Amino acid sequence: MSQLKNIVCALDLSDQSKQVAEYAVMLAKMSHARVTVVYAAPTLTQYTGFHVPPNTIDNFVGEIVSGAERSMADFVAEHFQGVDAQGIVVVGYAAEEILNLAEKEHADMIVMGTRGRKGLDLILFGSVAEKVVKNSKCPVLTIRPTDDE
Amino acid sequence: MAEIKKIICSVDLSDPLPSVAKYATLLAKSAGASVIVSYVVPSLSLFPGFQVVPGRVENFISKIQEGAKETMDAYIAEHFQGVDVRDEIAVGDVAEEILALADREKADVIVMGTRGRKGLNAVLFGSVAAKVVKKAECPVMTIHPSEQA
Repeated sequence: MSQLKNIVCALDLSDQSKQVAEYAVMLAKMSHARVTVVYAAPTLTQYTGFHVPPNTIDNFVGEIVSGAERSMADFVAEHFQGVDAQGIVVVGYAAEEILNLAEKEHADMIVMGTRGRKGLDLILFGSVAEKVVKNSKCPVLTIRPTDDE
Repeated sequence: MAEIKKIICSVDLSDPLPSVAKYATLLAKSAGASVIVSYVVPSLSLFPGFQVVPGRVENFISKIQEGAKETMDAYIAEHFQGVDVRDEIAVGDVAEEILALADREKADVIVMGTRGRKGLNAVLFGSVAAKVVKKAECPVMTIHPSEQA
């Protein structure tokens, strides 16, 4: 019988991440699993072709990452109480980063939302979930957050 | 608050993945949930334009349904020991039927493979999972076919 020992929970730190976290916490408590909570910040390398000094982009991404790390620490402290959870921020293409992390951590399951950000990002984040579902070697629990809290 | 009391396990009886049953069972036992094992016989309603004698398609489908019931009983006996389980066999569009069942039963989670059928159907079934993930009101756990039981 297989067991859940390592869960990767992918979040975008939006309002709806709370609902995704609830499911990861439920599974973790049920099976005494460890949770790695991950936020993938966009690289913005697609803008290097523009005449922006490379440092500007790096600095900007750096600021996003340190901001995200603070938000992540707060989020994990608030929503993962009573669970062995660790929050990390990575930079890159979300689906690839989530899949890489799952492999590295020998994840038994990935828990993620099917959308989160608004507008165009909503569509993009949806396709992140789709890509993860198609390519993940371990099972993926996808949660479509409801609008009302 | 997230909880799992009723699980829908969607199986392709023509080419079942043991790992789908394995995860549904694991989840049911850890959460104390009941399971509805669902198999949808594709309706073949895409063939009416082919001038097949009326009634032939319906006849064929009902034969498949009868056979499916037997296969389903054996499948459940083998994979769902010690679980509160029942089956549900439907005819129609696979994704639509899974979504309708989940709605009707107020399921807490749907467990399914990302594909299961062979050949061209494998491609189609991949899109079944994608459709369910996008549209389901409840969380969906998808399992890649390479996942070993």
